[in-house]
Amino acid sequence: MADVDVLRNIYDAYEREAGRCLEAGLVAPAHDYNLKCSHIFNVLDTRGAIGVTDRAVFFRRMRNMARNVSKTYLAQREEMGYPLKDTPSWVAQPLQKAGAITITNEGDSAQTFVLEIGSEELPAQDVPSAIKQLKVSIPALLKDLRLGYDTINVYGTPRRLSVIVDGLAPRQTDLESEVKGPPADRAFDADGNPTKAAIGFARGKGIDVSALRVKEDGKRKYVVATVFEKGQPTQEVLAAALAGIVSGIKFPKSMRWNASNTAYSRPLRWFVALYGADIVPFDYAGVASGRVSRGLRPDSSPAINIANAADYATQMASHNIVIDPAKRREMITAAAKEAAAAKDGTIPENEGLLAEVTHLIEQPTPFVGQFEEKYLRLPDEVLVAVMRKHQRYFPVYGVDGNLLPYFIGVRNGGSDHLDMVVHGNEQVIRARFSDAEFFYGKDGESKLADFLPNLEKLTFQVDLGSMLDKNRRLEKLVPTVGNMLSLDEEQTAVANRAAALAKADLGSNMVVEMTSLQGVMGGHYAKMSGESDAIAQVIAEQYDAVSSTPASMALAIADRLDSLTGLFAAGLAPKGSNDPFALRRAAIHIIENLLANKTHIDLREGIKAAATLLPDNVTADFPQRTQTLDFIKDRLSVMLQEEGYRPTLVRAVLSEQAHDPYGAAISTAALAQASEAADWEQILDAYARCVRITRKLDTMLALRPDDFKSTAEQSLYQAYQDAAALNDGLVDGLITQLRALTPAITRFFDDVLVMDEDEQVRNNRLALLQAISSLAAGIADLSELEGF
Amino acid sequence: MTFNEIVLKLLEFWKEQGCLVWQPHNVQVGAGTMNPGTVLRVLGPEPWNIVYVEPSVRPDDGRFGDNPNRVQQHHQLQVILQPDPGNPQELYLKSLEAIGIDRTQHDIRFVEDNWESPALGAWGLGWEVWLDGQEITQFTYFQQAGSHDLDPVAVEITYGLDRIISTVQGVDSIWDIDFGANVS
Repeated sequence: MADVDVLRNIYDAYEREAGRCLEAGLVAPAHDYNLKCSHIFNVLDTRGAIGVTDRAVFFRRMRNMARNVSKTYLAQREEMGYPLKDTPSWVAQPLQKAGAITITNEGDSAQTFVLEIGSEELPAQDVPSAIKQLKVSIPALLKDLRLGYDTINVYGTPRRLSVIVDGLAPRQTDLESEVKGPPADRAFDADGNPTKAAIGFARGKGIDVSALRVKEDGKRKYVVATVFEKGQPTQEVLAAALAGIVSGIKFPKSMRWNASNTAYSRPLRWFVALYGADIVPFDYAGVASGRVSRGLRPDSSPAINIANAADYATQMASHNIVIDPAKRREMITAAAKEAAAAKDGTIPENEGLLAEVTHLIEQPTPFVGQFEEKYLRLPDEVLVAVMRKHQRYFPVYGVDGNLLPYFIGVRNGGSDHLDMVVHGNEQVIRARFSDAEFFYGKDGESKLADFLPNLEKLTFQVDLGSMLDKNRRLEKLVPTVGNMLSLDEEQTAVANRAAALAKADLGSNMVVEMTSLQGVMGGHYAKMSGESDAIAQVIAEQYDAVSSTPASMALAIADRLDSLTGLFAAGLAPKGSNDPFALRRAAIHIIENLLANKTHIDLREGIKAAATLLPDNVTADFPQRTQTLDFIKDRLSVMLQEEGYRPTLVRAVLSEQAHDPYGAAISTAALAQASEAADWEQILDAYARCVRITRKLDTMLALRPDDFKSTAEQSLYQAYQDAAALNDGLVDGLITQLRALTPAITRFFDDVLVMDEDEQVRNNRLALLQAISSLAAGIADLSELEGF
Repeated sequence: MTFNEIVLKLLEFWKEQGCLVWQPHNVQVGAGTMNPGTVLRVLGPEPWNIVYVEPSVRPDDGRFGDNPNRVQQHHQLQVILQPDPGNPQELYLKSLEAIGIDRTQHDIRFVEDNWESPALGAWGLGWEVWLDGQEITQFTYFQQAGSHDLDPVAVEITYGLDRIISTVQGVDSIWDIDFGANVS
């Protein structure tokens, strides 16, 4: 409808006006013009008129304007003296301060200690992560504080992390330690009287100077002080340490909320810290510890007063809060199974979903919901994605393996009014399925290839272009990779056609709505568009780690090679744990795929081919290509070591074969076995002698067999020729040849002086040893091994 | 409860909590956040507490003419609490009770959802609030706006009015909402 050029002109004009207003100090109109720009952008976007580079540029323009408007606004408010600053009804809650330490239970009896960190709902994945961290930091703290205990348990829900230490000692153990002071000859004068240095040292340690002793340390003598540190009450030492425990919990994303400007995953709202009946006072982030916990959301989070730490677990249970994730998980699993069984159905195991649901609730109550059977006409993957990903429901399958029109949800709270909850959830899934049906129907009106133009709008990465650009690169890269994987003619045709349509589904309504269905929908729509089952399968499984056919492997590997090579070339290699493009996973998928399918490849060639297809604005020259290969090599190294191979073995093989993960894997296994042989040491030693004496040479010397005069020379040359003729590039063959060569090598070094005075003679002998050394080239660098 | 009543009750509830009743902006916006009452006023050290309804214009959703849940323009009710009052989730849950959504009869969840607007240079962490599985509200602790750190941080609560109202009225489609005065 709207004319794109007109809209762009309007955008530019509005932007200019915004700038002019700002120059005149007019904040409100400048902001309004920026809003108009934003609306024009939305309209252009809906028209499909915004390409990838364009989008980034528009965002930058709007962001810059927003920043300038904000800056001017801030300056003007400051100039006005922030008129609203002290509005009485809008005053912040004061930050709380820790109370005083009380010690009521002095004596020798151990007590329970409880720490509950109460917050607003943590993201599901933050709960297990924080529990894991506390399971490390709490024992470490107690050890450091010299506090004995019986057991430590750490639990957690979205709203609380709970540490329960049973049998915690009432005070620290005493500590006697020896502290080194000044050298004895400086601590005492010639008459043996203490000097100022000795007196000062003793005073600093709180002991009498007469208590200093002299001790020999190495060659010198020093004074030492024995310092006795009396154990302090548990309440006191914990009070000083607990803020550190809370601040030590790290989250992938954290936020500020109050004037303390402390960061945590979500706002902290309360701490319970009790040792027996005593509050362990501390404050962190403006929250002071006490004895009041909070109950469930559906119960209006009532205050729960904890008289004694020993009552904590029972009080949580009596308020229906299941603090132990293992127990919640068990309750969900058991109740969900039972509910499904009542409908003659089963629930397939799904670890990810179960873990997430477990950490979304404090009191699990599973329920069964129902939907109209007509929706079962939609592809299973769509129904399952809606249920699992969007609603966190467990889908129910019948005995025949087909989906049933039921789902299992889990409510946070008890079973009161459960019928209302079920009804609400059923309405939601009906709306979701009706959306899906609508999108599926709309998509069905087009052929899969018709979605390709929509990819122009989808950014892959700014420097690497749109998803359409990526698709075009795949179209060119797949034939090359297919060739490297030795696809036959038919497989090549399948892979090439699948590559042409590979990313098309990203432009369909269904995948725009539910990204997790990428690939799967492509497969469906390919079939609906009349493509063969083989082509549909290649498209459908492109995101899987392991491909089921060689044609699928060609697309899967080409896709990941393009991402790895391109993003490395664009300078976006993962840094530390920061891997926004999931390049580690891409590298691991390449390796797993090749290993599972027992397929050789030369990744150097693959990366080179991918690099030549990249846009001109990124340089995929030598350093980036090496980095890409090294990155894959590192993943492979980790994977092989995880299988139990020694790091030296893995290094020996990878330094020669990292470009061929499958070859490297079988070579590592073979070399591990060979190195167990009884005569391994002799074989390695003989070979090592050849390598060591020639290692410093920087050129390959010419071998002149006719000039060998002695029997030792001639027989070694003969043995070498036999070995070279049998070299098949595999570890087993190499070891067999080296084993055969060993006696001749030993005899050669016994009978012949390699470093002959005559250069001709010397170089000819070195040339022979060089040739033997290079038998392992391309197989393994044996010099990495122990005993070389 | 009609659309009229629900809007009035929510405005009244937040007014009672000390919020100024602000007005929708006179320039079309994609989200209530872009109203200068939010995106500019949250800047700087001054406190700021407001509530208002904002029509949200989404050309992108207008494409699905006959879809039951997509329209080009819908309504958001936006609340800004700055500084954090210390119990904003509890206040929010009470506001739902004011419009007849009783937390003991439903399953109300705070599910992680982080908000970012690259065009506004703004982001925050928070949740989408689920009512029996339906997303009804975006709840965000605003960390940055116009590429400036917020101090104090502002709590932004954005009710998706159309969705809440279909839930309260128990209608299947936003086209069946009872607006009041016998209009639907």
